[in-house]
Amino acid sequence: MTMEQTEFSISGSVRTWGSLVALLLVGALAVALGLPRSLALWIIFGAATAQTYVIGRYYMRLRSEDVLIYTLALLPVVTVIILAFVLVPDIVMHP
Amino acid sequence: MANSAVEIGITHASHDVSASFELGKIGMWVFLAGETMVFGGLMGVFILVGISHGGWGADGAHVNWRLGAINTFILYTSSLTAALAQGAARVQDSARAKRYLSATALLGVLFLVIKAFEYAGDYREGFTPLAALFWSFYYLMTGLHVLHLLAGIVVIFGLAFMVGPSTPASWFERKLKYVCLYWYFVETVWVFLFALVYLAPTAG
Repeated sequence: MTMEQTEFSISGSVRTWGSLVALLLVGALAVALGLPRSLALWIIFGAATAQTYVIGRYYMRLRSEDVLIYTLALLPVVTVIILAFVLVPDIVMHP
Repeated sequence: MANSAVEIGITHASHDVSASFELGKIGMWVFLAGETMVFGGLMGVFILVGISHGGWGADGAHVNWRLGAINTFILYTSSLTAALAQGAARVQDSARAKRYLSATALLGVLFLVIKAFEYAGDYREGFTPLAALFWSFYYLMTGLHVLHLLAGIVVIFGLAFMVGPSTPASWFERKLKYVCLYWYFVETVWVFLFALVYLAPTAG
């Protein structure tokens, strides 16, 4: 079996699904348990970032992609973050 | 004939020579980059406006995060069936791939049904798009996501309908890869929408 064939094996896909569901539960529990807001936010966005990583790496197969695809995937994210920081003075400091 | 030659050329490029020059895949990633800018821009403004207002207060506390969590679970399960469809297509089992693909689309429909119930409940309680700034953002971002999901469902059903016994396996596998890539992207967008719009405003 080649690497491409094993990437979408039933056990591998179910493992990926299981880890996503577990991370979903982590975020939901942070709200359900009524944790302090700042701690809950760290957990929620940490879990969301981890879920994005799992989807990107195993479902979108970024682990076997080249630098061009990585650039196409990350460039808009970086651009949006920069644009958001540029807008901070206009939106946050002058509501 | 010319089309077949191009198809064969691309197939060889993807499997033998270099996957980096698979044009369809690059095109899909360019499209997804644009989509990332659209959703990322909206989410960025949502965060900044939220900070400038000192949080979303009581408005944000009314979202039904439990329904959102159920929908997230459904979307994750639909991605599992999409991945299983890709696995089946890879071993050239088109019939099984079609079944998994149909399950993916049906789970997408289930997501939309639950979302419709959620919208109806919000409306009944008076949380319309004009009720408050939070609800304007809520309907804009989740509504845009619903439209993307709807497009994905149509394309998935269309692909499942087009595949028959005479469909070349390599053609099906390639198209399935692009469709699934889009579906996983829509799922990724939902991960952050769920965290931003459902969980964060109700936390603490």
